[in-house]
Amino acid sequence: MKRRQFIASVGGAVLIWPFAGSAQSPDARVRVLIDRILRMQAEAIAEKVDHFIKEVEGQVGWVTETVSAGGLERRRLDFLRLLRQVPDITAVSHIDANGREQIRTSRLAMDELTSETDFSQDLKFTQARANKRYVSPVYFRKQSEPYITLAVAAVRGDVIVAEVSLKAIQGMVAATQVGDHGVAFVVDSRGRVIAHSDMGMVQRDFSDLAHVQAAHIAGSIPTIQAVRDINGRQVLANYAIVARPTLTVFVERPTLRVFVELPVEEAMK
Amino acid sequence: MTEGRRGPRLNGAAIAARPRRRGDRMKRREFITVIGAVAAWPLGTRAQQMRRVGVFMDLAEGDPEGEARVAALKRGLQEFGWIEGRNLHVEHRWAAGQAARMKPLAVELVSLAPEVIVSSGASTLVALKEATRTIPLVFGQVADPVAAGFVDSIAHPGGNITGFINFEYAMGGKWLGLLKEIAPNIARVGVLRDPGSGMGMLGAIQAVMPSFALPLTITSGQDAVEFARVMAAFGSEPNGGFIVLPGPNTIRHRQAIIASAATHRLPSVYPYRFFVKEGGLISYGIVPSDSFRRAAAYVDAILKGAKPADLPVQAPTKFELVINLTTAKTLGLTISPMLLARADEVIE
Repeated sequence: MKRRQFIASVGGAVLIWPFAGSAQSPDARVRVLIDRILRMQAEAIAEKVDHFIKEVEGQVGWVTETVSAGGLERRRLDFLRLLRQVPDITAVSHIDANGREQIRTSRLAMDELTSETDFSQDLKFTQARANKRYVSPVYFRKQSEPYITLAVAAVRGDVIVAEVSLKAIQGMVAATQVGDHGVAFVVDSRGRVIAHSDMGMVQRDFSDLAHVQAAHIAGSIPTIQAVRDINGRQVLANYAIVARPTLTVFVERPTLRVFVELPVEEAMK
Repeated sequence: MTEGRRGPRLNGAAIAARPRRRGDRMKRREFITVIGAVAAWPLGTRAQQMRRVGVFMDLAEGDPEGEARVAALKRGLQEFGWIEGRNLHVEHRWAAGQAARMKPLAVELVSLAPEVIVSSGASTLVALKEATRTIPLVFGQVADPVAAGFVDSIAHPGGNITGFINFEYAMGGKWLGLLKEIAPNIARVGVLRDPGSGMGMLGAIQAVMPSFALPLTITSGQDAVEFARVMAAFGSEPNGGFIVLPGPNTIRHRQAIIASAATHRLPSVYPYRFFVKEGGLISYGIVPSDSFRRAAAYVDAILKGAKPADLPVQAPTKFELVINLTTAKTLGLTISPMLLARADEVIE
């Protein structure tokens, strides 16, 4: 059985459990299965997100290797190539070892050469120099698009900075089918939604939800929880964590989905 | 189960119809069953019902660019299972760039009470906004929907309007940079805009102009004759370069603009690929059909009950650089390897 079929068939079995026995104390094995499904789905999304960030990081890293060779024009060409290869990068810049910006290339604005803007005290410069790389918390560009700043240290203390759109994560979430009425979503470290199966939820503040708060407690271990979702419906939820940037992927499915599934004749009895 | 493909609820409706045919007096239980089945019936057939969507375009019917945008929207809708003629009815109105037609066409479209209307740009949206405060409106291309008063904020539009931004103002500086790069010898820069749009982008051009130390001439026009006249005036002196800003009129009369640029030998930068396909020198900008394809996701969400007030306005994700080498050759320009390497498409 393929993984997808497994999820589908086990998912079907889960729908029956509140009727099969007492809803208050479901069969422990079923509970374990639901837990596993939800966690697998959350982990699958988290893996994709992690892979996406690493891939972009790798592409930026490639530019750091050539930054000290060649002149300004050569570096600019490398940057333009990077923008072509990675559509998720909106702008890329080079900060020299003194913290001064040398090149800034953007899809959206005019390229700037030797602006000499001082970034020597900026986290993206100091942190990248100290730890080889720096990933900022999520920010919303123009109030609407989730982004991170990714900075990678090059040889001789130069730093390459990329502004990376996280819009692709919405596609990863939308592609995940969580039962018929389940949802998946991703929140940033402040509990703000950056992707959701229901696009109308993007950017909403979920920090008050019990399961979001629980997941944000340091060292907490993902486990299934019966909680209320943002609309107050009872749901089962589990999550997985993306380390850099700090993101939490949640998967929720309604607890009592089975009532809606019954055909009319059954419901009338 | 033979009824399976029609769904369980239709099955219930068939059972409920039987007592009536027999003419028996209904017992309480049966009565409840009938009521239940009637109440459930619309749920079961909702998928088969025709949903109604309006499309209001500022271009003319038959304009290949306009048709391409509508086609992209419909392809996007198909991906969500909305197929025209099967479960979706689409009403089209084409304003052909004519200001006088905007309002009556918007009123006409609104009177048909579609469940959502896709508006191509700002001009059609102004007319639609005046005609309805309740029908959800999704715009495909507006530069600054907050400044234009269409939405409260990008993140939470707040009213019945949401959609897709086409150009950030900073793009104006990008076009100036490209003009200087493709035609390094220019000594003067001219900008052509629609009277009603392009102010923000013009501001961005003016902001970066000092670093080029070139004189800037701002021109505008509404129709082919005016465009030809202002371009002839600008082109009468040598070494000029030209930037054409996006707007309903510059798009509608693009052939006149492209022809004038050729006649007066003006290297020109355009906002969209189709200008270059039709003989313009170089373009950098969004892929318009892409934002209409993405608009389908919002139409789908609204048909399924989402409120435009909650759907954030989205920024473009795809940009493309297109160069026409034949035009470059005619103008005596040599394209640098740097520029060629960046082009998404080179037309020869």
